[in-house]
Amino acid sequence: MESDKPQPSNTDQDRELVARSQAGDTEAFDELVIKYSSKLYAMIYNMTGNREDTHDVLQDVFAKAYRSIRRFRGKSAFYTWIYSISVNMTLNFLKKRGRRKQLSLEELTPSSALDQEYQEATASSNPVREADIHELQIRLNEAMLELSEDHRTVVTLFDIQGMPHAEISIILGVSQGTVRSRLFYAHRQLQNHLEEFRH
Amino acid sequence: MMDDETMQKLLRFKRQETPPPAYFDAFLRDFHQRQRRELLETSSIGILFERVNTYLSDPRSQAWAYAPVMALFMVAFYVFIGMTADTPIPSVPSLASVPIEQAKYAFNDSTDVGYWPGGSALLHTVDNVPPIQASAFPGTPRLQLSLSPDELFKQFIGK
Repeated sequence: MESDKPQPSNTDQDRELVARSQAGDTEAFDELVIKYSSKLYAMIYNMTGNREDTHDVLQDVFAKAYRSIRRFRGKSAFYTWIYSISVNMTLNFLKKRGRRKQLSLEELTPSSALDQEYQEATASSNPVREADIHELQIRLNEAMLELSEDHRTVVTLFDIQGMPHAEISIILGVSQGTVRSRLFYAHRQLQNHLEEFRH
Repeated sequence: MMDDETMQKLLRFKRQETPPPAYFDAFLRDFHQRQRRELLETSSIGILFERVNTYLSDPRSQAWAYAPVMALFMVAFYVFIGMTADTPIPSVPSLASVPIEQAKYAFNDSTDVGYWPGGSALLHTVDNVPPIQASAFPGTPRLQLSLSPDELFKQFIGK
């Protein structure tokens, strides 16, 4: 989980790329797009639950970031700034879309050996267990979409993206206590939903 | 109930829900195309509006934004004053606009003389003077009834 968090060297690299982008170097901004599009895609996708919507929102996010890059003063890390833009734009998009359910969180499409636990779980020789995990994932997706947008956001940032509470509180503009309380409530809801499946 | 750790493990599986790497190459191409399309589609007014909007949304620029707004307001104010300066003010009575001959009759009335102490002296003094028009005093400020009779006399005769 820790490996997903931007390291100090990454922050320095970001600072340099941002400075070059602010000076008009479009290739530097492309590097930022390449670097963050995968992580932001995962976050937006887990909030919208739809691939087409995710693509559109992510395009909007980078377009807005490009237009605003000169205003970025470096008071926070670039990744905090770009995550804030992404979260706000995704929440705005979800408000516009309304409560229309997008139950299309697709089945798992593991792209690489990113998660050791996932590899171990799916490599199990027990077909019953594999089927259970698969079913559990489908249930989890359903449960995620049952959460309110605020709760889904903290679960996405903390559990899926692996961000610490402090960073989530900066991105969302709420206290760490609020982040913890939302997480607690969201976990309870998810557990209840999955508990029904187990019985 | 399922414990928190198991829940978090399950949630971590969701990190795998990413498109293949080729998607992100196409994504960058889409982004470039979109930028070019926006440049062509956005009108110059739209670009100007967006730049002003971006400039004003910067907290550091907000303080300076007051200066041009204030300057614009001042210019508009002076233009307005300039347009209305030549308009006569009909509601303000002025002696300068009334021939002295008429004023004499007006103030000769015994009731009015009592109302304006010293009025009769003024009128008697100017009795033999031909009527004076306001045009005879270019640039003279309009005389208000609030001036004392002596001041009025000095302004009319002292010239």
